[in-house]
Amino acid sequence: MLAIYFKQRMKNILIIFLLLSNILVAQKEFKEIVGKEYKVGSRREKKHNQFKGAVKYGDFYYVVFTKRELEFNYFFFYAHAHGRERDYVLLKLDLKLNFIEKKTLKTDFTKKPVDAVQLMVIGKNLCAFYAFNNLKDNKQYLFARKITPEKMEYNGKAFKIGEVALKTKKMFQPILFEIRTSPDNSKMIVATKNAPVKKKFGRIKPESSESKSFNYWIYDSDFKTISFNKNFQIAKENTILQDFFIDNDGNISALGSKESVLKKQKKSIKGEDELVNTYSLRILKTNGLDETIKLGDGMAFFDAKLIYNSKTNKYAFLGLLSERNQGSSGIICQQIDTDNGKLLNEEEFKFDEDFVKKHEKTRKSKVRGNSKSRNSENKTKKEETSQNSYFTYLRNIGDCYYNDSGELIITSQKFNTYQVTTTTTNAKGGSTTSTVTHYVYGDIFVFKFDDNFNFVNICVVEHDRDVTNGGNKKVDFMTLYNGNLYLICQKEYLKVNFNNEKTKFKPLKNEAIIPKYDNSYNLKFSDNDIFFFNQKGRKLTFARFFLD
Amino acid sequence: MKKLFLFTLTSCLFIGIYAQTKPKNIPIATNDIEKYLDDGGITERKNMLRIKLIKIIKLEFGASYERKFGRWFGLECGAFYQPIRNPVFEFPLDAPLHSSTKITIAPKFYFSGKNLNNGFYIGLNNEIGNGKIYSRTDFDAKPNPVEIYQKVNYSEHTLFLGSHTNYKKNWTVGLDFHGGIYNIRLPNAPLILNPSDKNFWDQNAPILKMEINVGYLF
Repeated sequence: MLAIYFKQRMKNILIIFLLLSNILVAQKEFKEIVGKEYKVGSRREKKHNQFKGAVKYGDFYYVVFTKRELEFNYFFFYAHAHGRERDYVLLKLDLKLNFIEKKTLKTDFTKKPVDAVQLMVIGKNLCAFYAFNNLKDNKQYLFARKITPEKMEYNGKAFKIGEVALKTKKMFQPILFEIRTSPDNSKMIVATKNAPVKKKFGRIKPESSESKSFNYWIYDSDFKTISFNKNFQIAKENTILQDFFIDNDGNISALGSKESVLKKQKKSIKGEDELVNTYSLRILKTNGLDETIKLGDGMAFFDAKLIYNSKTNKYAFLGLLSERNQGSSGIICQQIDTDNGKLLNEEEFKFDEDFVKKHEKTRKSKVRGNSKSRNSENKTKKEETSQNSYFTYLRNIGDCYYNDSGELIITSQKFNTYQVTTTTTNAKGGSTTSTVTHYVYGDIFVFKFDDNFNFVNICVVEHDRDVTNGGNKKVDFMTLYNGNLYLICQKEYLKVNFNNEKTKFKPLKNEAIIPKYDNSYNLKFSDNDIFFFNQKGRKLTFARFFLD
Repeated sequence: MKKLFLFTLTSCLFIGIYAQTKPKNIPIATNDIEKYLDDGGITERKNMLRIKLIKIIKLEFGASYERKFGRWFGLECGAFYQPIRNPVFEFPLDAPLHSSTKITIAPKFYFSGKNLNNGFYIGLNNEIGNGKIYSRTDFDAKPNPVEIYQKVNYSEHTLFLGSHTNYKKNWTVGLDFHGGIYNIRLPNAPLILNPSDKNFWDQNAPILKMEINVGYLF
């Protein structure tokens, strides 16, 4: 009797078993260890503890805060507030996120109003950086002081490790230093940025992100100077520093882009002229190599990225080609050999007619509301001007990875903006109009190329849902681990399977904690160890996502 | 020839070994940070000497000294002397003193940073002193009539809102708005002939005024 019953129900039991096993497998991908909510500082201090980041050293996480003080700069009754970040507050947690210790590292040893810059791991110590604006010398100085991780106490004296000239006699200046460490934390590079200059009528124009030449110092973990370069330029032209890196041997690579030049179309239509960028990569090696390579010369890009393949010791320059500022028409990849600083090859992947028709059709049919008119406008323009060119609405390059077999994985998420204008009429008959711009993130494209940049396959993650409720959000984080790409976005996760061309997100196991991580800050300590932080007043909540 | 070749080769090796250029004076990280932190006390100024421009126009000469205690509180004290009647501000805009000596005490509450370089504050200004006011003309005096002045005690209490801003390294410019009352009180034996005048001078009167300050930080 029982056997007959089971025989009849076997099909259902089998289905339930399969479903359960699928769920269990899916949930094993992410091991979520949820931390408690910690209260940072007393009630009075609650507004002044600013989350600054976290570092991992040994088997401990150090969550870093700075005590924030508001100071005001007055011009009679016009006040401008400045937040000064002073003392460091450190929370020590173990790998299971159990709270161990909390300590405040004061800056009163300087007896001056110094600004906390950041806290990093250098060698076998943590290192706290401080900046001080000396108006007598007209310079901003950078100091560093080691911290013993075990005791969370200062270790030794502070060192002056950098200086940059100020151009205004203002007490409040932005931090004019960028600090990077080598992957093994044995070396660090300190580079300067341009100080803001005084413009007419006393207004200050920040130029910090547009340094065309800069000084840099390279130090070892004991602050011994390895190298120094003054007025370092990436290229002879006005090239603005984008990013720079240092490897374990002290070799430097700096990426810069030349100021854009407007490239006019023959049949010029307003808004269709595009900006042409030229990127330059300068490689400086300790063996004497000094090479500057021009990348993407004369091409128009929406976005560009430089990634390093440690296995082949090559750089890959990836650029998303712009098609008359309407959309992207392809991806270009230039490989650079870091041994001799030479351009190895240049490959291009064009979005052809089939590709565009396949991946843009779905999007257009799903967009609703005000953005519809905008799309139809784009469509007519496209028909008028570029009948033979095809493009997608990808506008930036997301995370890029080399997997173990040397394949290149490039991610890109579509996004567009639309404006909603609301008119409200009050009791007296007067009306007020307000316009809100919504950013809508769409599907995520995950491309896979082989080591010669030949297209292997693509996986499109559909992400085109709730447009009315503030729009879709950007993918919170991505990571490549064990050859699989993992994405997390809005309570959902996804393991990208390249066998399927289209896939969808799945809900995360512990949904209860995830809403707290909307608009949160995440840190990737390694490919399988990611932290999420969220601070609201005194309350700090964090979770660790660990991939097994 | 072989030696020359070797010498050249060795020189080339030593010269070209670093592409990361090393200037002659390579800056070394130093732990003697005191000299870099010495900014001549610019960031720690807590004392200020002030002159008040409107008072000078009113022919009140003097200065005030201010000291800041901690982040929130400051105390300003000053002394002013007015030798003659001011021709610019006449009653009812200002107290009709023909000459005076005043001292001022003004506790302040600051909404700004720790030093005195910049400030936005509210305070209570207390001025006390004595002076003289016109009493009557003695027409009997010969050969010419003589103006007779009455000695008075003067006090003023105003609530003020003000701000000052740093200019160059050591100077500040500020603006205060005051509102309150002043009182001119006659001594026990008045010389005023008309009794109604005594009542007039013995009462409190409202006052609204503005101050422009120039300060020197030290």
